[in-house]
Amino acid sequence: MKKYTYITFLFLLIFGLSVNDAAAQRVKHKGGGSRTNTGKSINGGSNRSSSRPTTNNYNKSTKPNKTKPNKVDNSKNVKNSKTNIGNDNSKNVKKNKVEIDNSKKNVNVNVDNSKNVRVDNRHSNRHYNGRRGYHPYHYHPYRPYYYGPHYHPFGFFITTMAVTVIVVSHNNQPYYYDNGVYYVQGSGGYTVVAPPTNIVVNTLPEGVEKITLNDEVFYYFGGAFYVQTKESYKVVEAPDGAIITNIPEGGEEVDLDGQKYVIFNNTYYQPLTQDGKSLYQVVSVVEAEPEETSTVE
Amino acid sequence: MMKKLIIFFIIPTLFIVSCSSDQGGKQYDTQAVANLDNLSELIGNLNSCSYTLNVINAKSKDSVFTNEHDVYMRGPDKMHITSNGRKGLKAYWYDGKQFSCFTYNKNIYDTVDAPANIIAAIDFLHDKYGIDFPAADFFYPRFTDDIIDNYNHVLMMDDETIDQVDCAVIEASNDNEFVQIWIEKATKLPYKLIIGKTGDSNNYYEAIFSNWEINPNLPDVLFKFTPPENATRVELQVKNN
Repeated sequence: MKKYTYITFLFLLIFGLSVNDAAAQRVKHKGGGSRTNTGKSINGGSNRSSSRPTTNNYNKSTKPNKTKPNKVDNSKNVKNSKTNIGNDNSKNVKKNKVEIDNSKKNVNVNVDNSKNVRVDNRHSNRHYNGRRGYHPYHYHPYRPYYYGPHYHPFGFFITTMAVTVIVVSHNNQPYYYDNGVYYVQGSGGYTVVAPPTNIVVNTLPEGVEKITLNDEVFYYFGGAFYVQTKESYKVVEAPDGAIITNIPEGGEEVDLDGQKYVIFNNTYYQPLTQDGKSLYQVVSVVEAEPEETSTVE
Repeated sequence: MMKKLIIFFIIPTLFIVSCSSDQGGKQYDTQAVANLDNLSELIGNLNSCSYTLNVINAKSKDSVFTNEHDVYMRGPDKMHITSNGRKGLKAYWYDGKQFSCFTYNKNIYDTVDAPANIIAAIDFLHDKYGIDFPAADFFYPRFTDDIIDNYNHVLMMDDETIDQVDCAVIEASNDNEFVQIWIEKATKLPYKLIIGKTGDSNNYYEAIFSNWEINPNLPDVLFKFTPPENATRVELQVKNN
């Protein structure tokens, strides 16, 4: 009987410990919230064990020894001012009145893998941004960029349009434009589509990138490139050699000549690194020539 | 004489040195541990703070989600977070007694009783409802010891400059996962965090801090939730263990 009591006690002890470990967030923690926190510190003050393992001096590693995921470019997301004090819920509810039907979200209209293409290296003698040719290929994993709650990827479906939408007609087709996103009306709602070339809008959304390429100014947002025409902005084909900082959801990594590129909206982007930043450069691709087959005469 | 010297002095000395430096294959760098301690102490001395956190949460190549959180904390028992991501805008309020959660695009909320301080509330809500608070790791009082307890190697990496921010970089790792922490040299505050699975570059959690404010004056009203009149109360789902 005593034996079973010990086993039960041991089981409870082990079980109790694992429950305690579940108090972890991302790294396992042994809590700390059970301490009486009578001061004003946010966590009751730092606490360190008196029985730590010995530390030694090691040389710095030149590289993290694991595959380090690429950094997120949050330069566009960083808010300079916070005005979120108080519970003005009505304001926020209004802002989010768009009803989203996630069931139709997985429409992928961006990637055409059927093409057999290669990067056009004949363009390497061109000058881009004062440099010759394309920047050196430097792989970094594709991390879809999040533009914020207004942005939706191509193929996304919503049932109700936001009040801020602007209707733009192009080739007799009405497009619903809202914060850099283009919708077309369909059965029961609106689907996000790629902006057609030459469509003109009067405003560009917050977060747009300005790109100067061979003395010409382009604006980039969500995989679309614009040029300014008087008081408006016209969508143009992705300019060969343009460098951008981010690609939104909907792209796909593809292998070309043994290197990984990201294809988004039928444009190929080459990953590169410049001044420690992960960037992409638009590259031109050409149809690959069929491989020669040997013939027996 | 030489033989005795080898047996009684050199061999035991080598053994002791070997044991103390190796610790069963574990490596804890003095500078790395000191940097973590300094960070933990700095956070432990805060009476209030606020920051923005941009998170990438990747479970696989096809499952990558981003979130932006604005976090406000006031010791010992006030917290408010707004989170914007693929599920829309959500906000959380903790006032020392109750915790409220509001989902804007569904117009639903719930309020539950909560423990009496921030860390206890974070643990309670994580355990009961599976709510993960953004980059909460740094706010545990035993942060450095938790890192040491969970990882066999805690080492300094080469310094790195990200977006013109000079950072010291620390990596903690074990056989299965690793944590990389960038500490901004100028402020000594965390700048970036990556937690990843060893050998699986598609599975990771990445967070970048910005807009740090140290000991700001955060009013009580920030931590009080009043549900909108037309909002529906829907019970928070209890986590399945």
